[in-house]
Amino acid sequence: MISTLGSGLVLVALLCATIGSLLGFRSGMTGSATGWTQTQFAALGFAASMILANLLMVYALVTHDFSVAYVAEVGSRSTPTYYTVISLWSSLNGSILFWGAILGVYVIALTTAHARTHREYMPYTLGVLLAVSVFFSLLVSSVANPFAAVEPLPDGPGPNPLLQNHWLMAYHPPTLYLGYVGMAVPFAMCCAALLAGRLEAGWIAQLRRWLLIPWVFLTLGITMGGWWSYEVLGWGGYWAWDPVENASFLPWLTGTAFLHSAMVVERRGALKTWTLILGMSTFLLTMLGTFMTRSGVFNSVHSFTQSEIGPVFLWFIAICFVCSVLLLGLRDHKLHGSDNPAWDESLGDTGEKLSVFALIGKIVTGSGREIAILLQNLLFSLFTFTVLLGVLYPLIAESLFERKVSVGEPYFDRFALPIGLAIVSLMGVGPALPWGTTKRDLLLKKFAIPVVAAAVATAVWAWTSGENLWGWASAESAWAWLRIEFLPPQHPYVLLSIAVCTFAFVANLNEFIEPVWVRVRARKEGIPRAVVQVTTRARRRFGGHIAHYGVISAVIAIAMSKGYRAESDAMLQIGEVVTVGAWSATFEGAEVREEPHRQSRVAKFHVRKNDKDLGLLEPKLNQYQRMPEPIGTPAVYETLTGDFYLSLIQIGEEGKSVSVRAMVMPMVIWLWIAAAIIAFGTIVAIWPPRTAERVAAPVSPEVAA
Amino acid sequence: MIPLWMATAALAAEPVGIPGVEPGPPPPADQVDANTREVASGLRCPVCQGLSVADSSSKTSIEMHLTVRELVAAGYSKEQINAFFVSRYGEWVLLAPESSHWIVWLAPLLVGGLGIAWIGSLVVGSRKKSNPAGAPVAPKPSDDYERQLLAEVDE
Repeated sequence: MISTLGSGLVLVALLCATIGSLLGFRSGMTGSATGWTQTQFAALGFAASMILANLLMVYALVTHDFSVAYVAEVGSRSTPTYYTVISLWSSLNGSILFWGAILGVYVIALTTAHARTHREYMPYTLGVLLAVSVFFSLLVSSVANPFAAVEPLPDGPGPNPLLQNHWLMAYHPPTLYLGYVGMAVPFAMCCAALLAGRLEAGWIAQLRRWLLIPWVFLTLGITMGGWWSYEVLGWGGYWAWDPVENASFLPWLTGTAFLHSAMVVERRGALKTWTLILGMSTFLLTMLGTFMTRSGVFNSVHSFTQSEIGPVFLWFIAICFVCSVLLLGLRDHKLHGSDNPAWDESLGDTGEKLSVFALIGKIVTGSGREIAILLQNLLFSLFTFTVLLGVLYPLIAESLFERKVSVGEPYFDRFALPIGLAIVSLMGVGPALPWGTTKRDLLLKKFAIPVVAAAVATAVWAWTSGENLWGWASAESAWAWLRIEFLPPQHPYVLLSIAVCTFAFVANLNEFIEPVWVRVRARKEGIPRAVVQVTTRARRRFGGHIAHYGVISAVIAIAMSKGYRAESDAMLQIGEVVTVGAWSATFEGAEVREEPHRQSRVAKFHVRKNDKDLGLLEPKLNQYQRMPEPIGTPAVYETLTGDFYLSLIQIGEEGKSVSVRAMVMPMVIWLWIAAAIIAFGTIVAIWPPRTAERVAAPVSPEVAA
Repeated sequence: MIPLWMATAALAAEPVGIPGVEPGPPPPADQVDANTREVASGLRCPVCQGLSVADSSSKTSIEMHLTVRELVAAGYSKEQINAFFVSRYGEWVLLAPESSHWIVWLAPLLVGGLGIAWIGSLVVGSRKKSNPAGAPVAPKPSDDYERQLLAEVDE
């Protein structure tokens, strides 16, 4: 019964998406108003049936209807209801169905937000978005059909144990999916610009907002993935440059580059093609990431399921890629007319056909924010290239040279550190420069304080921690680095991180203080009023600054936790103590706890820091019925300055002895805080401005009459 | 407290050393831990998924970690220890490809260099184009920074 109904709903979604897509393209070309209305209805039809199909699946899961294939795969009567509901995304077919619902939510949001605006782009946008939806509906109704009818069994095996092992697993996958699927919206909007043959400031501003929404989910999702890895996998790290982690990081990189280059398009009318390329590759990379996670081509700690869905995805990526290239090749020249007089005026250039090259040339003759953004884009593209190369190289080496190689943390770190630090320093330069040209005296005025602050902070840290930048930068140690010899026990990148982070922090803070002073002087406002005015009026500007503070927080957390982590592996009898730095843990004994779905073997440790009693920590080894090996759950005592981390390696017979890894991870918590800061900054930035709200709000005829 | 490596070392009876390879002078005792971590974090745990021997707490990794520690303490260099593990497990065991895979190391540098050269050439090219005779550049309408700032915060 549910099988038939569910399959029917998915087919309705497929039908609506197909019709809507065709209608969208046609009404885009003809400009017909009725065609546009029909497109909207078809879009809403797709969204509604996809969301209903998901609700139906949740109903089937909760009522344990084992005649539905997916319920038989992941359901179990002994699983708590909460986990039963979220097991909707615990396995592949369910998550693809869930993707459909997310796509539906985005379709509804986009349709309602722009029902009456941007008519020259919107039909094409929905056309492309629904074409993507056709692919997902096809997947759900064929290869990955969760509603297939099966012979009902009395009980199922239950969801993947990892889902029940930590609360984060309830939030991490949907957040990441919201980021992945949402990138289809800016992709469709980029295609729409090319199809319509125009790209105005108004559309690029909307494009940027619609990319910011999935971008912030992607940021949160990636961070949660790291947090989950840290709290559950027990190796004490949050990022292993694992293929699946890289897969989520690639679209984040291109998306971040887009967010910045889109400002150049909006302000200066330049970098249009480049920005569209970034926007479109962001979506392609999310699809590539999905393929990598699900195809089984790559080994990863994060990929739980593998299936024959891989080749289908590869075809979809190929089709999207070819369409994108064709669109760019055939339609790109249409974008570079003098479609906005303000841009041409600001560039001192009226009527001349503006090619990307000529425009970059023009911009670069200046020395404004554009150059900082151009360099930022270069660094992000280089970062993307390097990570992609590192991910793909094992495949290349195996197929071309028949050599099995690994590309892991030491490779990525060697490139990520310098590129990352260069990006952070640009983060301090860009916001401080005006658009256009910068006068020399302004440069001095803007950067004197941040540079001095960075120098002071670095010197203070070097003095208090005993780090020596010059000792490491000697010819001898450079030689050791090249020769792959042991490095001296110094942490040069910690010092460099402190330098660039202080510089960027002070420079961004300065950009907040300065407008306040300008208002106080020019408008004769009081300081509190000026602060309120500045923070509430230029939300996009300050949202961006807040996001920058978040990045700084993350970089400091990474530098400190990588540079100063300390660990000790120990074998303890009851009453014995393991000590790491100021922290110590006394082994108090082990016990077994039975729960309906698992058996936990818990070791109890009494934790002290500098002889101050901090209570018990209980790292566990959880044994699930479905898994042959126990899953370790470490125990973490978190503080703002550093975490104490206990991870069990083994519990001896009768719980009398234990092998444990104890670690001190400085400042890791600031990585999670960073994600919250970035999310807050993004919300500030995308919150609609008051004036625009008033202008854009349509006056309904009844009210007007 | 017994460090785990000591507890495991008691069980292992293998002789310390790589046959046919001469170790250097042993490092100072306080360097052994750091050097062990450095080598172990470049070796791939053979039974995990992409974790290094230093990070993984699987049985195999613990044993490999111990071997690394003994070799480091005996004075072997990072290169010698790496070569030893490559001879045992294949080059797959190294988390960073060897220098014979030069392309994976050079390509990012090349791309970065090209990008900078491209942006640089645009700067030079457009300066020449906009100022062919070398005549003094007429002052452009300067961006009044304060005006721009006010406009921006009032947007």
